[in-house]
Amino acid sequence: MKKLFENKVFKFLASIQLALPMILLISALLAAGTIVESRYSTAVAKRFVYSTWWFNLALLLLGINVLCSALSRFPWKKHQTGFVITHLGILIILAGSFVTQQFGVDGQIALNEGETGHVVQEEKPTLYYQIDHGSIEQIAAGFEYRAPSPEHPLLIDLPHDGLLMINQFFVNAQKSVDGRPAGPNEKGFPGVHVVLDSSFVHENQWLFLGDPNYGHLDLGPAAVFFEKEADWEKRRAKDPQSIAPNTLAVILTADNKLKYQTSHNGQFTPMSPVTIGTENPTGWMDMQFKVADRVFNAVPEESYKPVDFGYQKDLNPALHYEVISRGGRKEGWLGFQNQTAFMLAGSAFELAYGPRQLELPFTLRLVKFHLGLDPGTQKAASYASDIYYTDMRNPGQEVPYDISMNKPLHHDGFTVYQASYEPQPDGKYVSVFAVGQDPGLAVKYTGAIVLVLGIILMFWFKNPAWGKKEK
Amino acid sequence: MKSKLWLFLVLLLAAPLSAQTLDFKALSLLPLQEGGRVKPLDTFARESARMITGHEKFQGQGSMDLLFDWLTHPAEWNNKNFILIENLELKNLLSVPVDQKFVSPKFLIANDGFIAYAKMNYAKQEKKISLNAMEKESLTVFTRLQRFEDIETGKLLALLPIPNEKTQKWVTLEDLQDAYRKNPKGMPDAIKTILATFAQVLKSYDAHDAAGFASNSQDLSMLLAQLGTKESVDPGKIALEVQFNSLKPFQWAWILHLSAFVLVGLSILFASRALYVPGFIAFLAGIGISAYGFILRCIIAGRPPVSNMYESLLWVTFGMTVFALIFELIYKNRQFVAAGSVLAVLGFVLADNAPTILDPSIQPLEPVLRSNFWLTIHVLTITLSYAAFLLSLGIGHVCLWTLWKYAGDKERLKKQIQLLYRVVQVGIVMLAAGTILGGVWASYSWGRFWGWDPKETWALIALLGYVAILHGRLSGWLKEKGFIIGVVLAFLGVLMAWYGVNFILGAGLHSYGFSKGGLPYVIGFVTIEVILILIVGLKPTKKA
Repeated sequence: MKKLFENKVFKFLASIQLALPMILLISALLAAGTIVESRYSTAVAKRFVYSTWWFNLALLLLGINVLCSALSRFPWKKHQTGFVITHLGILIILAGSFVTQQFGVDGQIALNEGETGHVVQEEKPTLYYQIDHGSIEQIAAGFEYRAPSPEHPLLIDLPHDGLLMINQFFVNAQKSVDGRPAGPNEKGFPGVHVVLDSSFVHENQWLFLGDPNYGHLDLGPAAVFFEKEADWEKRRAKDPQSIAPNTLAVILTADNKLKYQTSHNGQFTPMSPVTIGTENPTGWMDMQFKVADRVFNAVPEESYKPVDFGYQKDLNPALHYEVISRGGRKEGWLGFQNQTAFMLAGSAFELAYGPRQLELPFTLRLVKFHLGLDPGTQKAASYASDIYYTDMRNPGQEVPYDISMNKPLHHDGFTVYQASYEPQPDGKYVSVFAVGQDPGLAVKYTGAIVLVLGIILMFWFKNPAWGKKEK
Repeated sequence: MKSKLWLFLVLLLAAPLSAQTLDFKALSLLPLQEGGRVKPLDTFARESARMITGHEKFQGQGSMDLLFDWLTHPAEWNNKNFILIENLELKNLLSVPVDQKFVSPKFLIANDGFIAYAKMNYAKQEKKISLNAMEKESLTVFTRLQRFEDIETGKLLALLPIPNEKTQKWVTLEDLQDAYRKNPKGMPDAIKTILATFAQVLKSYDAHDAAGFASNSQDLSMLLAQLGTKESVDPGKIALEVQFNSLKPFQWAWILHLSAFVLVGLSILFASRALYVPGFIAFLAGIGISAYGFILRCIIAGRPPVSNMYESLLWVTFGMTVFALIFELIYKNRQFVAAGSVLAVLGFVLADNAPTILDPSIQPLEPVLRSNFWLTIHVLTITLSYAAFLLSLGIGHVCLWTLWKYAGDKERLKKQIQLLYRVVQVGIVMLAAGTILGGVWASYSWGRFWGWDPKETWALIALLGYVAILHGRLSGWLKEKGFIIGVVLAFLGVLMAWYGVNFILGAGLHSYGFSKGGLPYVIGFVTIEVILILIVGLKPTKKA
C-alpha cells in the first residue's frame, strides 16, 4: 500500500494539480455541450458531446482523481471526515450513473385509445433484418464512435455465404425526391416541379399527380395541389372554405395541358394556362410561383444527402446497404423509421431501420386519455390515462391503473410515466408514455445523500489547512 | 396673504381636474375570466397595456383609462401607433424606421406578407420547430395586434360569470353581441340590460361625464355581480388583487432598501450608530413589505411564486436580503446590510421596470409543475442557493473595495474573506442539494435522474465553478485576491444557469420558463464586473 502511495503516477492521479484542470475542463465541455444543444438540438448534443468516448473518458478520469485523492490521505484523520465522505459521495454517484448507462432502459410507448401494447422504443438506432420470414436479427446502427464508409464497411455474415454490408452512413440526412422519367415497365405519375417565392418564404417541391405521399404540399396557412381538372372541380365544389385559406392548384386538363388557379379566403381567380419557368403571383402572402419543370410520366426517386443540423428536434440518420446472396446483389438507401422488402435470388429479404424495440414483461391497454384544461382556455392543465396492465405470466388478469403527470405506474422493475399526448383528427388521443428502468437510481440517491452530508460536515468542521498552504 | 394665494391656486387647478377625472374603482373590481383564472378587470387592463404597449401607462393614460379608450374609440386607435415593436430586423422587413417604437393596428393588418409570415411561424411553433429572434418577435407583435382586436370585439371580455358546462368558459361581451344579432327577441331582458348599461358606461366615458360614469359603472357592476355564484367569484380575492396591484409592494421594497443602503453606507463611512439604527429599520421594513407582497401573491396565485423569471428574481432578491439579515445578526457586521440592500435595490428595480422581458402577470402553472412536493423543495433550494451566491457577489465587492482601499491591512482582509467564505459555503451546500433534488424530481416526473438537460448542466457548471475556487485556494494557486475575484466571477455561472439557459440558450426540458430579451443589460453587467476586476486585480499589491 505504502509503495503505491509513493508511486509518481499515483501521486499525480491523486493530486489537486490534476483536480483543478479536470474541474475546469469538464465545465468547459459541459458549457460547449449546452451551446451545441441550443444551436442545434438535444439529439445533436447527446450524440456529439455527452455520449462520446472523450466525454466519458473525462468523467472516468475525474472519478479516478477523486478516488486516488481520497485514498492517498489514508489513514484518515478526524478533521478529514467531511472531505472523505464528500469525495465518496461523488464516487458513488458516478458509479450509479455508470450502472444506469449500461443497464438502464429509457424509452417510449405510444398508445391509441383502446390499443394494447408492450413494445418500448428506445432512442438507439437499430437495423433489423429478416430472411425468408425467419428470426428477426438486429444490429446497433447508431455508429456513435465510427461511421461505416465504402472503405471501411460494416460486414454482417448471412446464411449460405451471403453478406449484408453497410457501406455509407449519414448521421443526419435529408430525403430528396426528384421526378425521373419512368422506364418502359414502370408505373409513373404526371409530375411537376413547383417553386414558391416571397421575401419571407422559399419552397420548392416535386408534386406527383395521384401519388399518396407526394400529391400535395401543405404550408400551414396555404396549400398547393396538383390534380386532374375534374378532381379539382369536385374538391372545389365540396366546400371551398375548408380547403385552406390560401390555395394554389396546378391543374392537368383532359388534353394534357397545365393550367392553374389560386384562391384567397374562398375567392377563386379564373384558371390560366401555365408556362414552364414563368413566375406568376399567387394572390396571397405576397408570393410568386412557377412550375419549373414537368415530366409526363415520372417516378418519384428518393435519395439521401447529408444535411446540416437545422433546428429539427431529432436526427434523421440514413444508411446505404448492400446485400449479396447466392450471386444476387441489391443495394439501396434506408432512412430512419423506414423499411424495405425485396426478393433476391429466390429469398425474401426484409430490412427495417429505426429505434430499438424492447419488449416489456407486461402489456398496457389504454382505455381513455383525459386532458384537463385551465378553465375557459385551450391550455393543458393535466394529463391522465386510464390503463389496464396485464402480466405476461398471468394472462387474462387485467389490473386497472390511472397514470397521470407526477403519478407513474411501477411494475416489475419498470416505471411508466405520462409523458405527452397527441390529439388525433377523430377527436381521440394518442397517449405517450415514458418507460424507464433505472437499476442505478438507488445507488445515485445514496451517493447524493452521502455527498450533501459530506459537504455540510466539511464546512462545519472547517479545514484547518484553510488559509495555509497545504503540505 | 401668501398662504391664501397658495390655496387659491390649488382650488383653481383642482376644479377642472375633478370634473374630468373618471373614477375607475367600481370597474377595476369587475371579475373577468382570462388565461385560465378569474382576475379583476384592473389586472386585465394592466396586463393588456403592458403586453401591447410595453408599459402600464401609455402617453400618460393609465391602463383602465386606456382600456376604455380602446373600447370607446376603436377607429382612432386603429390608426394610432401604439403596438410595441422591438426587433430591428423585423422593423427593417416591415420598413419601419429604426427609431419608431410603435406601429398601428391598421399598418399591420394592411401588410398581408407580415400576417402570413406570423401565421407560418405560428404553424412552425406548433410543429415544435425552434424560431429565431425575428420569427419570435413577429409572433409577439402579432399576438399584441390580436389582443387589441380581441379586446375591441369583446372576445376577451369574459365578464359574465356564467361558465359553459363543458369548457368552464365564461360568457363574453362578443358572445352577447352575436346572440343579440342573431335573435334580438329571444334574449332575456337581464342580458339586454347589461349590454345597454355597458353602452352607457362607454357613452359617459366618451362625454367625460364623471358622475354619469360613476353611476353607470356602479350599475354594471351590480348587474354582473347578480349573475355570479360563490364558486365562480371570490370578491374578497378580487379586492385583494386590486389592492396588490395598486400597492406595488416591491416598488416600496426597493425604496426602503435604497434608504437603508444610504443610511447604513453613511454609518459605515462616519462610524455612526445613530445612522445605522434607522438604516437597519428601513432594511427590516424592506424585508417586511416584500414578504407581505409574496404572501399576497401566493394567496392570489394559489401557489409559491417561483414559476417564471420575474417571480424568481423577486424571490432570489428577497432570499438574499433574508440571508444578509441572518449573517448580520450572527456576525454583527454592517457590510451585510450594506451589500444586501444595494443588491435588493438592483433586483427589485429590475423586476419592476422590464415588463416585456420579465412578465409580472400571474399565470396558471404548466401541468408538470403542479402539485408536486419535490418540485417545491427543489426550486426553493435552488433559488435560495442563488440568493446566497447573490449575497456572496455583494460581499465579494466589499472585499474588492477593501483590497483597493486597505491593501496593506492583512488582518482586515482576512476577516472579510472569512465572512465571504461562509456565504459561499451556504450557497454551495444549497446548490448541491438543490441540483440533486432536481434529479429526484426529474426521476419522479420524467423518469430519469440526470439527462444533461441545459438547466441541470448549467447548475452543475455553476457548482463546479465554486468547487474550482475552493480547490484553487486549497492548492495555494489562488491567494486572497484570486479568491475574491474568483467568487465574483463564479457568479457568472449562476447567472448563466438562472437567466442564460432560459433567455440565451432557450433549449431543453425546462421550457416552461423560456423567454427572450434583456441580453444587453446582462452583457452590460458582465462588462462592468470584468472592468472592475481588472482595475482591482491589476493594481500592484503594496508590501506591508
